[in-house]
Amino acid sequence: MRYIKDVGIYAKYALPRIIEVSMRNRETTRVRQNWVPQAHGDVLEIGIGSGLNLPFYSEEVRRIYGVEPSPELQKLARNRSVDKGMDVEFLTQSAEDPLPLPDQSIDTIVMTWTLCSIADAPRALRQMKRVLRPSGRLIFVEHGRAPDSSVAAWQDWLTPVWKHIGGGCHLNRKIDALLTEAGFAIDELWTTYLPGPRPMTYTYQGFAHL
Amino acid sequence: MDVRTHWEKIYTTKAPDQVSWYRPHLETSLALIKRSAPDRTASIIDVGGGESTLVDDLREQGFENITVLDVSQAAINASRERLGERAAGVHWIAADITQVELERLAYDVWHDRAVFHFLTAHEQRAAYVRQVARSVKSGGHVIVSTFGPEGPTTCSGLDVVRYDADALHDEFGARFRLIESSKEMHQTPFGTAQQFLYCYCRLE
Repeated sequence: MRYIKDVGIYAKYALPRIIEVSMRNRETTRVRQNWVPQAHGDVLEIGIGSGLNLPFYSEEVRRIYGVEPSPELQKLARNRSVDKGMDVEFLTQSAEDPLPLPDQSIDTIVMTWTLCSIADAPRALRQMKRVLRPSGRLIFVEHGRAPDSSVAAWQDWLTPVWKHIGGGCHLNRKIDALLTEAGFAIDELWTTYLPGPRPMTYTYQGFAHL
Repeated sequence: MDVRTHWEKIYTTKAPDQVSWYRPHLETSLALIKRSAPDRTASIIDVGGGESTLVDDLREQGFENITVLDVSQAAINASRERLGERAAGVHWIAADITQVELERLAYDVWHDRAVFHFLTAHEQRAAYVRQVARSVKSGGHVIVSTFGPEGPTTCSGLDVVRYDADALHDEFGARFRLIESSKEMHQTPFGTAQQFLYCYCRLE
């Protein structure tokens, strides 16, 4: 029982902080700075987390819906949104579950370092597809499967364990394939290893439309 | 056919050495890049890198911070596969150079062999120049190579614009100080010759 309780505390308090700290380094900030200002209109952020993207949204954004299942992370994001004077409506749920938004109602979906941790990624992408306007864009920054077979082998080997300590994070997902299989057309794709251990840092950045 | 579709088709149907612009090594480009890069950590972008071996040679020379941009994902994939493990430090961007939002002041060296001459519309050229001015550091170097005045008028089934050094420099404007220009006769894999022009500028 003791063990289970500790796991609960870990998931509830420690994990959000760890995610917050591990995501907030110089390189990831630079990447956010490059993509987030390109969002405009009605924005849906999938996995808004502690709101690390919030400082980078431009005046072109009308409102933000932030999907985030963790109330603890949401609290951190809420503070950031107040600092920025931004209107964020939080949706406390997984992105896999039906989003309480009408079809074709969103101009920009922003998803940064999120898809790795959604258990059923295709299901979440189907939701995104439903709510995105035909003229809309999905902006993504995701780590995933490396093209080098030696690194990919490590990713396959590590993922089952890593998932448990990393909040459900999969290291071996081929992000571009997931997007195209879900029916998105990729307009731009930037790929590289960011600094850090290679199984964790191969990054897919870009945007896609329907 | 849009630009992307055209180039995806070229790079998925033709072998690397079955395109007119193929050259085993881009010697002139490499020499200019080595001259302009302050050191091996210099940030270099190869625009329209396609399946060119320039990135291989730059890696070989020890350059650590290389970005290869091409509108064709197929070309990027081919280059990445050719490089194998040596591709690890390279940033790959599949995007249209006139539309992409590159990071501000990100590059010390900008290299383009045979992209700019495909921009036949004034707005495309203006967007390209804005891109260079925005993403190259001041004091950085810009190497652009196009077909010369006696070069071909079409390439890969597309119209091109031919330039002499003055005309090409005029497109970029006074902020780009022309350091040097040269002409090169390029031998295509099909035994024909094409005149290329190289302009080497410093962004003030």
